[in-house]
Amino acid sequence: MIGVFFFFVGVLTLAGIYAILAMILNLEAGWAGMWDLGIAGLLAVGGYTFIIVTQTQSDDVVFAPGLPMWMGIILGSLAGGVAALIIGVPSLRVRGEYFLITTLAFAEVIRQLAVNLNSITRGTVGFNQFDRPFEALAEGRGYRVLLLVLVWVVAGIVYILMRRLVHAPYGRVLRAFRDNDPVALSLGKHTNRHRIQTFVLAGLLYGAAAPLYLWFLRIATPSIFSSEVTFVAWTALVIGGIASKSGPIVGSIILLLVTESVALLQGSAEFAVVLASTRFIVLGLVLILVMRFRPAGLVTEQQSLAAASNRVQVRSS
Amino acid sequence: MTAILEVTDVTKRFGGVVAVSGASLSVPEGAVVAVIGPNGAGKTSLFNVVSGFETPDGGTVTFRGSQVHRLQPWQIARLGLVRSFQTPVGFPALSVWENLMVAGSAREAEPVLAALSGRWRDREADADRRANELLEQLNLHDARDLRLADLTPGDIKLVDFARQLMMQPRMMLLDEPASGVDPASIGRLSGLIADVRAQGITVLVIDHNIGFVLGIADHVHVMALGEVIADGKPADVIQDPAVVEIYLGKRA
Repeated sequence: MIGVFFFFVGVLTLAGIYAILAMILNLEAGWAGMWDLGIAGLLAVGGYTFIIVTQTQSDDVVFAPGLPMWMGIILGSLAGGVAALIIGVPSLRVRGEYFLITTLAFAEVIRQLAVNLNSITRGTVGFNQFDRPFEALAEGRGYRVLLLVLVWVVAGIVYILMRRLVHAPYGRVLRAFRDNDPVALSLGKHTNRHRIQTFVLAGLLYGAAAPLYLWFLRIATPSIFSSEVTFVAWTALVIGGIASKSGPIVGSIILLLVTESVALLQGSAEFAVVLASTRFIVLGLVLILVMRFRPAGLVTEQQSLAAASNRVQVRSS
Repeated sequence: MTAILEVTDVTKRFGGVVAVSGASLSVPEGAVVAVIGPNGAGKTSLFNVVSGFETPDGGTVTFRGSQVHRLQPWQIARLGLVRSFQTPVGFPALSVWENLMVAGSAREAEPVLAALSGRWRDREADADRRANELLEQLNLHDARDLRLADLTPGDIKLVDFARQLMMQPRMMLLDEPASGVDPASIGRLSGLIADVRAQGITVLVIDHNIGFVLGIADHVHVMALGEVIADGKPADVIQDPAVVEIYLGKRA
């Protein structure tokens, strides 16, 4: 029974992390119309920067400054932003499909770098011993609950941030050029500057969120930054409702609960392998069902933002 | 009257196709000028060059005394030259009010930092007032919070027009405003254009509907095969044998 409780603590922690990723993805894809397939790449840039500058395992690596955790988070965030700027400037000038391909390729390049830059990243072995925040407050299983709370506090902050962005003129401009770029241009909107600004912001946020992912998994290896991360975040967003405010959270919780609960059907060791692959079947099934019966997702943009104009008006007049 | 817009010898090629071939026209400040011509005459290509969506292969475009043919569309729009599009889809997922506010909000309110600091709030009041006035005038106030996609095509066209006005433009380029508008509403559209003109806004309009064009324009340019082949007062132009042959003659 206790085991089941802690199992769900873990699932909900992971759901919180995916809710954060899906909310950031929603900013770039749902509102700004930039279909980013390189989430795992930006997360890896942030995560590796964090772990490299903060880690204290100095054996077989050439660079281990051992900076404090808060500096690691800031540097990880900045690295995510800089990476977004470098890939965003050339790929956002051209049509949307190029952005999609560039980001997908970028994520793979970053993963290969992580595998091959042995003397900095420890290659496929990666890092598996690192400090986590507030470890003095709770031990063992208790820390899992603490991490759950920490992750959801961050998710709440990201939600408030996103709400602030989408209801501002900034968010309105994003949704406008997502729907019709030429008309936005004809209204004097420098749409490309908005796109780059938004993608860099997304990079900063992915970078800042990456340590949570590492603290949860307690490892930092190239394999945890595979494209699976990107596709789970995308699926959560689509199920929950792209371009709505709460959709990414709803989608992440449902998706992770459904797919991870498969693991509760424990059986023999051979069965475990079958179960592991079942997760993707379940994921696909959930996606198909939602697309069939609620193509705009469980929470729609209209539900989430239609009443927004009234609220803004009251404040401004 | 001085010219607000001066198009001189503009040429635009797409591969081997010459869409606009040495076209020149001048639009006096405060006037309503029309460009007519058969399909493929280069009217929309000319519009795209003037509004910065296409870079001309030759010639110049001067708006309010400065050359604009190397500028980006958003730069030209900020100078006060605002265009419409043939298919007025606007921003379908945004509410009608949001559609207008996108055009009306202050530029300083739009960056991400303004969103984070919340400094945009006190800058919205003016645009909000103008948006509500326009919706009132156009009888669209009940549709204020509906998604644009849920409006009738005629109302979407009105929102399109209102969105341009929210920019407080010096000059409007209207690309076939009467197409798809039912005959009963043509009179209303003419009235709107007359109102706009009364506010001192210059209008350059492309349309096929000769009756509509004759009713609103002070001056008409006729394009065919990328060239301006005739221009003058509407009543004179439709008498021109060359125009009758190339344009009106084909319809008979």
